[in-house]
Amino acid sequence: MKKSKIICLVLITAALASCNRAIYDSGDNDVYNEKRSNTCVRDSTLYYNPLNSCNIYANNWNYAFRPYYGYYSSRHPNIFFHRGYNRPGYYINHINNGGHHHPFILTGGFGHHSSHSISS
Amino acid sequence: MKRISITPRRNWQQAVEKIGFGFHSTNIPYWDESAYYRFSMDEIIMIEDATHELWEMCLNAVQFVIDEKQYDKFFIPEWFIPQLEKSWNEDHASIYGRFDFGYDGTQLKMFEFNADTPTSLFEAGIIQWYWLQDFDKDKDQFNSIHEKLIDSWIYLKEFLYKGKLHFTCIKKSLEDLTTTEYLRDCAIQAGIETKLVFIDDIGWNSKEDIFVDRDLEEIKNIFKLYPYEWLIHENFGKNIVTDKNHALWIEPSWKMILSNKAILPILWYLYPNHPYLLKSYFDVGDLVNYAKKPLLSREGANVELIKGNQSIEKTNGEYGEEGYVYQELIDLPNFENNYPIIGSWIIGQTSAGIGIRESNTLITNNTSRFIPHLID
Repeated sequence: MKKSKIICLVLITAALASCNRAIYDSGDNDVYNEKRSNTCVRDSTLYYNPLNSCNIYANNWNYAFRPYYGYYSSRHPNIFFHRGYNRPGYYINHINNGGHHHPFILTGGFGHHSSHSISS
Repeated sequence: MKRISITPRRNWQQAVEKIGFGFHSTNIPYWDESAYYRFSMDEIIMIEDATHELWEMCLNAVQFVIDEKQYDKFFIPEWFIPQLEKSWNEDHASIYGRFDFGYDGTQLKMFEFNADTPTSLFEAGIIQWYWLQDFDKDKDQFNSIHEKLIDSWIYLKEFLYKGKLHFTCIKKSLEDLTTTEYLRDCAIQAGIETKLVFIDDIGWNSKEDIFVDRDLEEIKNIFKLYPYEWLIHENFGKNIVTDKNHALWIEPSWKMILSNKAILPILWYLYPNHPYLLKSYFDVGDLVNYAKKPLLSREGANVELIKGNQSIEKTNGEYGEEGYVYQELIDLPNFENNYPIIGSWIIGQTSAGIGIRESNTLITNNTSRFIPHLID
């Protein structure tokens, strides 16, 4: 049913993971409060390093979850880290969204439903 | 299928955030590992077979709708029909879709097919797999979503126009961005050159009649996590047809037929009494217990469940303008007021895995929770 044990992620892990909020860290890496059995393992993600495990894709680091190369406010570069994001994940205020300044280029023709999550 | 209550990992929020899952909770958990669903291998094989069979049936249904020009039933505007037919006749490729099943332990029934913009892909492909590695790495899971996504992009790569594959979604939703970036991640691993452009940053070069991104780079191939019914009715919608590059859109526009609930009565008409289908009509017909569903809606909005003459559950929303379909109502399994729906993924042309969403109501809505599963 599962073809491989190791999953490589070059974008999501490298970048979304950088937005982690370390607010649940108990200082203890045991996965479960109560040991279920001897097979209980530690949090596997603790050992996961996307760059080490996917070196062949290292060149793609340029893409790493920095669309437009900056999700962060230039005035408040750390604000993203301190803002919790809920499921709808509103963070538009942190995106540097410069517009086009070209006589033949029109923008904003798509995205009128941008306040809706697609979730389906 | 059994529902097993368990103790969540102590640092589960940290664990899932570490692998890029930022939308695991709102004021209530969306990712819920206080339970899991256990399937037998026979059940998994049944779901896999059903997914393959329904996919074939859906493709036949698309051909039927196109041959019989049944577009009015789907509220597809006339000006867009040539584009849709072109995408079908030229076999424009699909990367994914998700069938939603109800399963009562004996019968597996399709509720709908999320064919255009299915979400919960990252949760199903990545998050629940890492959960399993922590919970019991000796167990298996119906989940080769990640591998099949990469394989599918490798296959599709040959059919893309020369140039980048753009990916687009709305800015405001971390959930949508995560799904989009996950798909882009797999495309990169398939060796495709990619670029993200948010949907409202897509530009139209009115001199050359082509779509461009923020860097004024031509868009020739584009994956969109944005439904066609929104796309074509917005200001740039008609530019899809006049685009001189004839950009390749993924999902392709023929998926508009399958993502519309009108496909349900069409399937029932083509395959009456098929074991995986529920009776579905464009009117109530002979139904006594039924779900009234808008042709186009999302997250269970504007759905009403009727038993006898009584409305037993109803959701609000802004959909329904285009009309409704009526689908036979079956009892979902009730695990102490938890009602699971099985989302079964088709990646490329292959059944690839499942994700379970669970609600405390009969209508699965935007407060449903994602519950992991394993095979035992």
